Amino acid sequence: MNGWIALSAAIAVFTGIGAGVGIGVATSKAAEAVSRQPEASGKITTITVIGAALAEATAIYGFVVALILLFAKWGT
Amino acid sequence: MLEFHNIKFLMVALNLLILYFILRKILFKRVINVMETRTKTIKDSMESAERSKAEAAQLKKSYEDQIRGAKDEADRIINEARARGQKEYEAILAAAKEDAEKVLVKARDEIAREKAQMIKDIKGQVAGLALAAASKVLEANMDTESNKALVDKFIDEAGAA
Amino acid sequence: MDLGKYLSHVMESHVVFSLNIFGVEIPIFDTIIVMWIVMAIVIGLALYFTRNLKQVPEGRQNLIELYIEFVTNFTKSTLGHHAKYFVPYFGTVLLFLAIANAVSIFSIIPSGEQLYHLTGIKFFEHIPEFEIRPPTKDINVTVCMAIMSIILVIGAGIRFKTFKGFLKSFLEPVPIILPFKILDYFIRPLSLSLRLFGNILGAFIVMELIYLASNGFVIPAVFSLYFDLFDGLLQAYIFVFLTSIYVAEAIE
Repeated sequence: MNGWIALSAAIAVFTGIGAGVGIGVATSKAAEAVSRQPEASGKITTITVIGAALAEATAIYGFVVALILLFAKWGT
Repeated sequence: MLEFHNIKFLMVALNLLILYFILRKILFKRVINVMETRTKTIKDSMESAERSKAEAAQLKKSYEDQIRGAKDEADRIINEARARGQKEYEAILAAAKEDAEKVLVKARDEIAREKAQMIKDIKGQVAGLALAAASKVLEANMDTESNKALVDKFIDEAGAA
Repeated sequence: MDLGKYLSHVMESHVVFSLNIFGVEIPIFDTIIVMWIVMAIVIGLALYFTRNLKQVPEGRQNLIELYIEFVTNFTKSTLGHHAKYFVPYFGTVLLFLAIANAVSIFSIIPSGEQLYHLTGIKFFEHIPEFEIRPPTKDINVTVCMAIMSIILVIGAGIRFKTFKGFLKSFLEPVPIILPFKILDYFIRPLSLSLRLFGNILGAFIVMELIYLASNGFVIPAVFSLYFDLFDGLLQAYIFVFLTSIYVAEAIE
């Protein structure tokens, strides 16, 4: 049983892939935008950081699900 | 960490509400109040500055108008005075000329009259003298000597006249 | 104690002591105590920064005005002219979360038990489990804040659109969207709370591992800047940002 729980927790943490890809895309676009309009870099940085933090949420959900799988008291 | 705990949950909510009300009272209300008052003060003072600037501009304009009016007035008065002076001067001159003319004419008349009078007088006297001389000659013409003296006397008399 | 047991131990919040009021046992968790400390810091700062406010600001008054100006501008950019009703709440939540998330930079301060062994002061013996850890790593705190946020959203919707208008907004633009709109009001607090909780707990676990690996020597300070300070402030900002967006959507 414990083995299965650990495995499912590990699978849940795979959501990190999505967040990684998302933040990568956002950052590459941000770099493009800065190279196109260097004078707007301040605003672009702010938007990128906020966007990355929002995109991170999926990874965080996976992490929380893994935590719940590991630490929630099953059947007690 | 993951389990819900009623009392903890309630205490968190209570804490947050207390924090919210305290901060609203001691921080946000006061600071926002100060900031709004300042905004209002600045707006007011800017408005009043604008107003007094407009007022000053208006005042300046009215002063300038007044000065310009005064200048015009002064010009006008000077011109008027000058015109009047000129007129008076001309009038006086004309009067003087007229007077002089009159005096001249009068004098000339006088002279002419006097001359005429004199001539008339002289004529009268000459006639009288001639009459007198003639009578004298008639009275004493036997004496050449006395004749001669008589004529001399007559001439003297005539010369004296 | 092996690593897993240690980690699951530090992740839990513990009862530091319990009060007995009218025969009811009220456990006081370390989360609550840290919250009280954070509240004391926040209120202390507020009192310090607002002492003799003047029309012409100088020194510390500039700082607090900068903060309030920031919150006002940020609220105005999402809520427009309704902003003034929400500035105090957003300002409070932002300040509280920023300090509560970043308070873990003090987690180098040892726990009550260790302090007792170090200093021998009797007081610390009674609070062996106490250690300064961010209160937001406790899901109760984040869920409570998210629920308060969603209550604010609903309240704002009813206040600015009337109750009827608020109910009608569930059927717009097409009535078939109703279940999703209702679901929205459950998913939003869930995502708000889990995002905050997961970020802070994740950063906390990473920092614990770094402390263990480096034995508390210099290296944690560098990582602490990112995981505790930067991430904490960013998550506080995002929490308030998302709340304001939800409120804007509700009152529009």
